[in-house]
Formats: sequence, C-alpha cells, structure tokens
Amino acid sequence: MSKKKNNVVPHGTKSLSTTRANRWGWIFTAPFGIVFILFLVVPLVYAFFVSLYSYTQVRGTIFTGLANYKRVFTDPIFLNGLKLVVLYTIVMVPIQLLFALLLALVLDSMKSKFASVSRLLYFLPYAIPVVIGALMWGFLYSKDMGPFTSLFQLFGMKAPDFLAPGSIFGSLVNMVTWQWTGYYMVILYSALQSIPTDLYESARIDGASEAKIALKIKVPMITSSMVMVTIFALIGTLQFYTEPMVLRNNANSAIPPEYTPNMYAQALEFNYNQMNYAATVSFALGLLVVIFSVLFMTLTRKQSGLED
Amino acid sequence: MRSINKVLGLVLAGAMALSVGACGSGSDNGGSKTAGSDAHANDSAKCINKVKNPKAEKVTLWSWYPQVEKLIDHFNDTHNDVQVCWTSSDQSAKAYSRFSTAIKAKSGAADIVQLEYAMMPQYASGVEKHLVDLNKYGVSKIKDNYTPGAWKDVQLGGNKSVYGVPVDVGPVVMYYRKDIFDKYGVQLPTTWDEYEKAGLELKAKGYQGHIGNWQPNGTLFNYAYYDQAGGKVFKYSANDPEKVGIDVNSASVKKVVTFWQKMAKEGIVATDDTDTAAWNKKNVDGSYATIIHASWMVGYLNGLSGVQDGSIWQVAKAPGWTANDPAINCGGSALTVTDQAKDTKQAAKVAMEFFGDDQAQDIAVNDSGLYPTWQKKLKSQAFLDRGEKFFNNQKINTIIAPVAQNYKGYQFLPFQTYANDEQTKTLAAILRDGANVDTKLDAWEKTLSTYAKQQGFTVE
Repeated sequence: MSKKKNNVVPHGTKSLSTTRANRWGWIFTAPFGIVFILFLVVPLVYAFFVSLYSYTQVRGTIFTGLANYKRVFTDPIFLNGLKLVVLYTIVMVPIQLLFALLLALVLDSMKSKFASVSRLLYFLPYAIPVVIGALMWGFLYSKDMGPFTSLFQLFGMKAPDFLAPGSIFGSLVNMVTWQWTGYYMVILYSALQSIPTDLYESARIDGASEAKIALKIKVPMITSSMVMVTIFALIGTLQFYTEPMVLRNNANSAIPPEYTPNMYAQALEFNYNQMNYAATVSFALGLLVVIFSVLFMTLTRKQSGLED
Repeated sequence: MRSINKVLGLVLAGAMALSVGACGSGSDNGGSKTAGSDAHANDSAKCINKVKNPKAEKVTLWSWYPQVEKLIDHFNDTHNDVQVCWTSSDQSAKAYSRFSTAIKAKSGAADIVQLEYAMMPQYASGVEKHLVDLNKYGVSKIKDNYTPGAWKDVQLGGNKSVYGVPVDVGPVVMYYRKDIFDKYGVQLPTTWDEYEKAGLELKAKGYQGHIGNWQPNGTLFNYAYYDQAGGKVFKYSANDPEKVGIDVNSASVKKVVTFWQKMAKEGIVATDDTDTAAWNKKNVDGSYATIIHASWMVGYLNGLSGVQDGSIWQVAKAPGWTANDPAINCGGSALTVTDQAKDTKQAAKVAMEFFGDDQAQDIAVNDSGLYPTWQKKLKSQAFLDRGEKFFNNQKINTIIAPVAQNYKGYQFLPFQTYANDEQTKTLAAILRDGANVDTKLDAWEKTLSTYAKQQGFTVE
C-alpha cells in the first residue's frame, strides 16, 4: 500500500525529473523556436498590423481596421485569382497524385536495375530548380523557337500556340505535373517500401493477383502518405506563383500580373506601391489555405491516421 | 519552465510592440521635408565606380543608362569639388521598386535617381512628394538648352515646378526592310491608309511575314499611337496634383484600336508581345517588314543576333493619319533629386551638369545610345550627318531629330504602372480574341477611374 503511494505523483505538482526533462526540452527546441518566432511569427503579426492600415496616394496611410478585409473579399481580381487556383487544384492535384501513385506502384513491383534507373529519371525534374524548369518549358512552348513547331510541320500540321490565353492553363498544368510528380512518387514509394512483405506473401497464398495486392493492400497501407502528399500539393497549388511568374516573360499578355492571388499580392506591393492592401491579400490567402488544409485533414481523418 | 514561458512572452510582446511602432511611424509618411545640407553624409558610401577624387564631397546616383560608368568617370574627371558615387544599377521596374522601398523606409534612396517621365508623377503626387522642385536651385537657367517637349515632361503637366533634368527621349519612327518592299514591288507607306494597302499587297504577292506588329503589352508605345490620332488619354498637372484626367475611350483611341484590330483580322499585322525572346528573333528574321518604334530601337536592332541574310534596313517617318500629325514619342527619362538627398543643393547641381557638356553628350549618344534632348546636340551637324552602319550608313538622324524636336510632351498618371497593366489586358482581348473595341475600352476607362477614386484622386 505505502509502496504504491510512493510511485504516484501527487496531484498538482510535478516530479523533479519531469521538470528537468521539460527544461531540456525547451532548450533543445530553442534554436528552432527563436528562428520560428523571428522569421515567421513576427512577420506574420507585422503583416497583420500593416493590413489594418490603408494607403492612398492622396491621403497617405490611415488606420482603417478591417476595411481592407471587406475590400479583399469583394475584390473581383482577388476572387477571380482564387477561383483560378481552386480550378488548378481541382485539375492538377488528382492528376499528380494519380501519376505518382501509378509510378510508385509500378516501381515497387519491379525488382530489376531498370527500376532504380527509372526511379531516378522520374525524380529528376524535381531536382531541377523551379525557375530553370519554367524557363526551359517557356522555350519548349515558344511558337518561334520551340521544337513543336518543326515537329508538327513534319506532319504538315500547324503547332498549337501553347502560350495563348486559351491554352496557358493546360501548359501550366503540364509544367507543374512534370516537375512535382516525381517528388510525390518518391514519398509514396518509400511508404510502399516500409510495408512488411509477409503481407504480400500471405495474400499470394490466399490466391490474390498482383493487381489485387496493389489495390487492396498497398494502396490502403499508404493512405496516410497519400493524404500528406495531397496536402503538399494543395498548399503548393493554392500558392501558385513561380511558374506563371517566369512564364509571364514569354506570355506577357496571356498571364496578367495578378493571375494568382500570390502574384496579385506581389504586383500590389512592388508595382502599385500598395503595401497595406498587399498584406491583406497575403493574409487572406494564408487564412484560406489554412481553412482548406484543415478542412481536408478533417475530412480524411480516418485515412490519415490523424484521428487521435 | 515558467520563466522560459515568460521570456517567450516577452519576445512576442516585444515583436508586437515593434510592429506597432513601425506602423505608427509609417502612417505619417509623405510631405516634403526640408532640404538636406550635409556635405559629409555620403563620405562612407560604397560606390560601384571608382571615385577619382576621394577627398571631395560625394553625391550618390541610381542609374541604369548603358555605359553610365563612362559618363560618371567623365563627370568625376572634370570636377574637383564634387564626385558622383554610383550606388545602384537596377533597371526600370526593379529600380522603382527599390525607390519605393527606400521611400517607405525613409532612408536609403540615392541623392539622384534616374526616372522615366511616365513614372515621375507617381513620386510627386498627393502625399508622395519625394522629388525636389529644382526651381529653387536655378534650373530655369538651363531650360533653353532642352527641347520644349522634354521640358514639359519634367514639369509634369504644370508650369511652375521642375522635377528633373531631362536626359533622353524616344522619338517614334518607322524602321523598314527595303529589300522586302523592293522584292515584292510595294510602295513604302506614308499614311495609315497606305500602310494597310501595302500590307494587303505584300500578303497578296506572297510575303510570308507581316507588314508590322501591334504589341498589346507595348504600354507607353501605344499611348504614342493614340496621341498621333489626337487622343490625349491622360491628364495630370503638378499644379493640381490631386486631380487626374482619364480619357482612354475617346473617339480617337477607338479609331486607332479599331484600325489595328481590322488589320489583325486581315492577317497583315502580328500581335506579338514585345520584350520576349521570340519578339527579338522576329524583329530581324524577316517576320516583320516594318517596325514602328522608338529611337532606341536603333541600338537594340544593332545588338540582335540572327539578322536575316540580305536584309537592307532603312528608317522613314512613321505613317500618319494626316500630313500634320504630331511628332510622337515613346519613353525617355530624367535625373531627379530625391527628398532624401543629403546635400540637396549639391545634388541639384550635379543633376544639372551631369549631361550638360559636349563630351558627356558625345558619350550619351555614341556609347549609351540615348536620344538627346539637348538642343546643341540635336542641332549639331556632326550628329545629323552621322551615318548608321546597321542602316547602310543612312543619315537616320535627319529623320529622327525633327521628331524629337517637335515632340510636345505628354502627361502621365500618378499610377501609370497600373494603367499600363490594364491596357495590356484590354488590348490583348481586342487584338487577339477580337473582342468588341467599344465595350473593352469603356471597361478600361471605368477600371482606371475607379482606381483613381479609390486612391483619393478627383477624376476629371
């Protein structure tokens, strides 16, 4: 009885070892914590404060409270940009996920040298900096210098204009898919590698085909990784910026400066000198990204294993 | 643990206080401050150029003129009391973003900043009075050295203040491929009517390219076209800096845009964006029979590779609607003194003298490829007689100089970048997708007026 009592920590106080562990925990997280606060929390708070002011060329900067937020959610440019990135998300994320999954499954079931070579090849586009990749595609898409013009000419056809306002959407989807699928594939592939192989063996003994194993065992086993990949893709696409920004040099009038919300914030700040409203746009976009991500994580709680 | 929490709390609170403080100080920006007179403030400035006389007072300069270092060296060689210290070579949009940042930070701008005429109202309107009125520093003495149009540009539509020393202009002329016109036996057009006919004729006779190009993203260039047809699209005066005039849907603008839309539909003009690699290539590979553009196209064409074999380039007056069309211009820039100048008087003196002698003008014209606003240079016989190699030694200045001379000056909005971006969208829709000219131009007018009002301007 008395022995048992000694083991129980009295309610309301902490044992010496817990306090010490806590202190060490804080010390170990401090380097990250300081950087986190200095470069993320402080700018965030600052941006929020900036967004509470309004600047006009005639009246200067005045405090306007949340008026900027009222403006941004009725601003057709912001809303159109938002619609566009949501559309990109709807089109691009499933394509990337599907390709990544397909490639990962194929590579996982191959055990030859060819598999490791193709794994590297699929991953390679991700190793190319986004800006370089976008420049390269800009060249490939070019009507006057790209290879497609002469390729189509071989068959007596006219090459499509990849940089026209109507086709720029597809061109950008293609660019992003090319760049990111390999990265997502590697994440899914490594998840597949961690599945114990005896599962497959017993399935085979039960007479399951390879396709069935892939569909009924492998895919369910890696859903948490798939959810993670989707969140990566979701956040990345909602903040779409680099690719259209670089491609704009080649398709100046097909991609307006406020094409996506992020580009809009950039244009407001650096082209139109509206720091306060730019901060509002950034903050509003950040808020929406958080909402989207939380919503998605709640919806997929069961699959992602984030339930507890 | 509690103490660490406290520390973290303090850090956060400090950060918040900092940002609040920063905001507070940011809210009263604008308003012109008194002139600076600290001759030693720039003593430790880091210069890109090598200062010849380190003991003299330094004046800092931001500029991206080609070969500006030669100009600076010339200035420093010829001055003992003051030296120019070049501190940034950022170009156009990047330079303006740098200037805007320095304005917000209230420090860090150079004493003298190169600005395009079209960008000057942005820094001299409303609460943004960041350009020094050079009248106090005797700028009127050099007024007659410059073309009236360029002088109007630096007065920003007013008649009292002078916000910069004009440096160059971009008179618009027509560059054309004589060999193409000769090959197909087509007469060189002098009016827009003839231009369209020549385009159709070239096409009918088998020429694969286009007679010319209308660039939806041509920004300033397109305003020159409207002006030629009598369309004064923007009104702004430094006398009344809280009022703007926007007239982008007038009959003149509609006439010009409709005309080019028609030619685009007929397939005789291209609608390529400028300043892309593809555009560079098409300029010289025989895709265009004419390029109607500013004077700086001379140096630009010179520098392009892939010039088609056998091409013969010549310069002619740009086509017009009538015989008396005004001389048109695209671009040009000035040296302005900022309100952050450390020694305003000295900075103003440097700005006024920088291009103000024969040798500096020689460098500006020969090395930098600037089109002069300096009367003495424009009228000099050597300048007019100079043959340009790219144009088979044609004396092109005999055609371009009168255009520079007759330019009357334009007015630009204090939010010109925004207006330009909106124009690009409008013109792309009209010329590429064949959208209705009236609807699109009316919508552009409305967008700009709304923006102007939102910024607090009275719209005329």
